[in-house]
Amino acid sequence: MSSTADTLLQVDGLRTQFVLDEGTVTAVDGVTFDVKKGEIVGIVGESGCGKSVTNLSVLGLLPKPQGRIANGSVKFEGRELVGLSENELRKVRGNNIAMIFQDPMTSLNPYLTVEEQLVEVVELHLGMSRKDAVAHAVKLLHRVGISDAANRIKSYPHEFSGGMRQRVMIAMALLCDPEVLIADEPTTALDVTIQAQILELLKELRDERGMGIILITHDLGVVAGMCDRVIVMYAGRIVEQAPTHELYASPQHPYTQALLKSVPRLDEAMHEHLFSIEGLPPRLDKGPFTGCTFAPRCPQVRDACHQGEPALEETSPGRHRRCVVPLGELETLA
Amino acid sequence: MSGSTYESSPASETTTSTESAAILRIEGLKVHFPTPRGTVKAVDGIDLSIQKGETLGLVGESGCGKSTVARTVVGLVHPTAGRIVLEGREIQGLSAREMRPLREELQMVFQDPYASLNPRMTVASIIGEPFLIHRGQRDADLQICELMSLVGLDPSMRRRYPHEFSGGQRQRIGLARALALDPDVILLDEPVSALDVSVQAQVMNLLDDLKKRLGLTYLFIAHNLAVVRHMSDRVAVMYLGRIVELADRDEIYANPMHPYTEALLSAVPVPDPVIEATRERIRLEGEIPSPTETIVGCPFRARCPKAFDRCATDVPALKEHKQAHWSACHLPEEAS
Repeated sequence: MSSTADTLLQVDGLRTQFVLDEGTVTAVDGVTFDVKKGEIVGIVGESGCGKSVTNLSVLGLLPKPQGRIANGSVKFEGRELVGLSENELRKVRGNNIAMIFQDPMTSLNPYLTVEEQLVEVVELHLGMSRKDAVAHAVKLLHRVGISDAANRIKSYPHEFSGGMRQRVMIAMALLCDPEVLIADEPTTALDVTIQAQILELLKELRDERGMGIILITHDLGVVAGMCDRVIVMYAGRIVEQAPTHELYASPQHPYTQALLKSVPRLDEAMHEHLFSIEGLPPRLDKGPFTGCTFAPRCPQVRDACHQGEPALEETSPGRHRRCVVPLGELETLA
Repeated sequence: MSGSTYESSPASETTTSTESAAILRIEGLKVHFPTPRGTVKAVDGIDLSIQKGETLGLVGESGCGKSTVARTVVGLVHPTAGRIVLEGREIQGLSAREMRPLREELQMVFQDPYASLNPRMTVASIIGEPFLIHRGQRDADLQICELMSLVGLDPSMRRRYPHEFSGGQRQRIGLARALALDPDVILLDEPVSALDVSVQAQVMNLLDDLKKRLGLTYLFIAHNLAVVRHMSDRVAVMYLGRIVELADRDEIYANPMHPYTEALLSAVPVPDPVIEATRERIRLEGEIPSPTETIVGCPFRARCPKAFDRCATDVPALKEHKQAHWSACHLPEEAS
């Protein structure tokens, strides 16, 4: 993928492994993508597909000592992040790349007020005075929709509802005005009406700040409404990548086709039975795999699928897929 | 509580019809929990009835009381007021011992297939435990294998432990156990919420097949409106411990009457970027009030985009505004 002046983040051939007593597990393999200014890139896939590990690798937050980037490169505005010291990485996190997680309660310290936690970040990263730091934090809390922020900042995390805690997390991520925000299932724990509020807020912030956002989610509905481009992962690999409209209109990988087909949706007539993909994703500790990792569950499997792993190839500008079935022969699911 | 006295109730109404009598009926159910911060009215006066062979979907956001309803019906929680009638017998407030014989009629499946199975028991002993407890039967190997096949598990895996199974398989184990005593009614509390999309579809299809094959009746509780639509014959929407709307599946999704149902439906993301780009969302401001708060008027009023004067003073009762379509809202009366 070529880099342009707008490219903020470039991940190339990323392979992440975990060295365990039972052996080495390759959790992410050959992952390549980039994120441009003002763009929301969705990463979708089911549990264990490697979407979260990809982003922990980008942030240099893999659990030590088991996790390691075995191969590939992660560049922020052209600067290589793989191999940076913990100290240098810490500056990148926060200042350039920030993140929010599914459960804000695990990322906020329950013993400290929101003020103490937010101000600590500002003092550390921006070197502001205490007074300016508090004012800055209040301004951002206000921006993310927390009313009466000057008083609410003195509260402890448990005194906020789930939706409000997620807003506090977003404010915290924005403190140092990062260029890239990684949001890992940011609304999965929230109710739909609150989810709609938070997603709307993320879009507004993207528009205001020109941030690049990586949105990790399992919800294909959230992706459809939020993302400019989508990456579909399966068993640690990217199986398809495309502009959102194109992916939904004409998926080019049997897994994407099947995934889109198995979601019960409100806008369609009811079918007696839901389409379902039989079987389960492969256990990555049973690798390495000789053929396509989706082959055992693929309704369009053929002999070639077992002869070595298919490469991720570009089918048209900005569209990639990892499948040996020629496009002309790919059946669409009825 | 004036809000819970209905002029007619959806529970009594349906039983007077020529249809077969309700297999499960909930009348005026209240579950209040005293806490240091005040009384939490988790369930505050609901009426529901489920016909034999029907799936009643119960939807609502976290804290609306939908799980408490199910937990009260199976006897895990004692009701503050109201009646629960199972196959003609009142079962509310029974002790665990008194409840035991009813397990052959009524079972429950929980959301979290990781937390609801004992990690130290083999799958065979988990599924076989009901036979031991209820029938004193030690060797139920044949039945266990049959149950496993029934839910799509390989019986040769019966000596394994829960952690060796995936989330979807564990939900099948929970289901096999619930089916062991051949119950008539199963309460399913978010049975597919913890599962991935592809596995979720498998389990939903399985639930559907089992219902048809075994003539089961379901109370299907979930927060996902698309999932509930797929599974249910009728749907009830809960908000703050009350039912705010109740109607046949197709009717409620096509013509929602309560502003809360409208907002919920409009908030569900649709997996189609073309639709998403043009869709008008009803934005609900704020969040669900704390259940300890004393609310005057309609409980949804503070977030309702259509609230008017009367909503601040009168609690709307659940009324049948259209044939078999119940809503707890003043709007239809205001309009007419």
